[in-house]
Amino acid sequence: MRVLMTGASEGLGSALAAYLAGVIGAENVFLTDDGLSSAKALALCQTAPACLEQEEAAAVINEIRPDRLILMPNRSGEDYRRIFERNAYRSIYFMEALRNADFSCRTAFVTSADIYQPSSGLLSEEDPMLAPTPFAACLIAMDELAYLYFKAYKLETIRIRPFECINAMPTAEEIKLRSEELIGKSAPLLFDYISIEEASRALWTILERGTPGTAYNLCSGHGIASGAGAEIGWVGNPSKILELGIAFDKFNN
Amino acid sequence: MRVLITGITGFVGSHLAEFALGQGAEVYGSYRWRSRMENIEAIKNRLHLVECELTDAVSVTRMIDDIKPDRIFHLAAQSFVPTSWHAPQQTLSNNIISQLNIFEAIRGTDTRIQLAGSSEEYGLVYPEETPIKETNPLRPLSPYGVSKVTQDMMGYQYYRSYGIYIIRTRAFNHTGPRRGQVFVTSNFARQVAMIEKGLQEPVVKVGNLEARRDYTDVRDIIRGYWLSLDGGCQPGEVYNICSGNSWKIQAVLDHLLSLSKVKVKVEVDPERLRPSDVPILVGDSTRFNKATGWKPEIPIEKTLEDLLNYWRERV
Repeated sequence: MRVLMTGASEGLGSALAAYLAGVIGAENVFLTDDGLSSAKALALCQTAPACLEQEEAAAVINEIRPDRLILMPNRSGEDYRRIFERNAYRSIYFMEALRNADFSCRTAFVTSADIYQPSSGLLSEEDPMLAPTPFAACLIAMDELAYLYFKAYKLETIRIRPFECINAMPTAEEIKLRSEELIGKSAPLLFDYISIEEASRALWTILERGTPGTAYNLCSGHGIASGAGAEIGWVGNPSKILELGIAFDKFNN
Repeated sequence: MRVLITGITGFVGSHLAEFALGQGAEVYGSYRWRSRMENIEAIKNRLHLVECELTDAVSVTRMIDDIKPDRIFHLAAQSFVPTSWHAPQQTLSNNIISQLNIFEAIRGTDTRIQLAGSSEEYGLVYPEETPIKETNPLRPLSPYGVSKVTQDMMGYQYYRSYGIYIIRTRAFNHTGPRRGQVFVTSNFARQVAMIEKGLQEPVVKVGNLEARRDYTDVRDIIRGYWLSLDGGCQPGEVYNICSGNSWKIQAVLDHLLSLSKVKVKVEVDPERLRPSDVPILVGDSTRFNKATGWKPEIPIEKTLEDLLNYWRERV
């Protein structure tokens, strides 16, 4: 089993790389190095070129011949051009390469719950998408590309939308900044927290057991209020991942 | 009032330019050195044309600074779905970056901008979801559709982040005189006109005739675009613009053939079939009707007749 992965930056990406190294062997995990990847993750796994050009992406796909491709979102500041290059365009390069490859490769398009509008109820995968940030606009493009390449070319793409993946409960200042990013002001919100370690395992399970063409919320279904009076936020409906046998322990109570 | 139309030399842009002139606006239009001018030939001397590469931020900023438009109708795009299959990255890049450059150039101004989204954003629609409302999930089935979803989302984001007066519209299929021959209605009309003049053997090449589309006359659509910036619409909000009536592509072909005396054979050309196609697109424009009072006025039968006559004069 060989895995090629983009966006192994700090946070979920590098945690997933470390998890995969333990599961399938570090020699089988290839991380694209586009200057934003975690040095620790790169040192642990194999390094692949950035693949920010069609030809390079095709060459890497044909050389590594991955069984799994994981397209983690790569946040590079607020510059739209960079964000699209590293995420949407690179996804297209990989999909075009796989379309022409003589082997099959299951691909995870990992985006974020940021693509949903805040809600007072549980967000399901069919809820409307809306982009509060440039990054979210790009993530929506990625999500739609995954669906498109599945429908048009039957490529085995799976859309995974993680909610708030954290190592520890955020500080009041971090919550304030997150709130300002998402709704333009500091206000109490509901968040669906999952530990990064658990999210890594769940993400891999979704990729292995999920149905191609489908979108999955990677969430617990439990909302934690960031302050008194929180009525809306991003809490996911986990019914689809529950069917895959995924459940979470931490940050749920 | 100063109005800037990107893509003014195109099908929709040229109709909108005529309409804007009729409204007494001072009309500016961006074009590229390779743009064909035939659509605006009759009104060219009444327009202010500016050469501008919209994917180049410097070029766009200079144009906006020079014109200082009150209103922008952003129509320029790589809008041909089949081409988007051959050049998916270029389609996304062109459509997204062009719009980004315009947004950045008008940040901090009072300029109002209308974004020409598309029903292709809805993509796969289940029968129970028709007529399609703006709240319907977006499942685009072409790279062009993905690019339009992204433009749409960027429009919302720039409205929210910077307070730009942005109206997002999603026009369903529109046609009429000057429609490029690569688009299905125009392509059929042109083939009929060619056959009438003996320039083509009596065989009409077709793609998927089963698809159903919601057609509106382009002259109705551009009137809708114009109204969208008049104040009735809510900035940041999205509006469908459509007739609400669906036409099977087969029925479009049948109607065009009924307007002619030629006898033809219909032949499916596999090259005209797409990797994935949208089976049905019928919209609900209630939100836009209520906001602006807009309603389509030209029946599609009249549109198809005008389109056929357009090609009869040109082949």
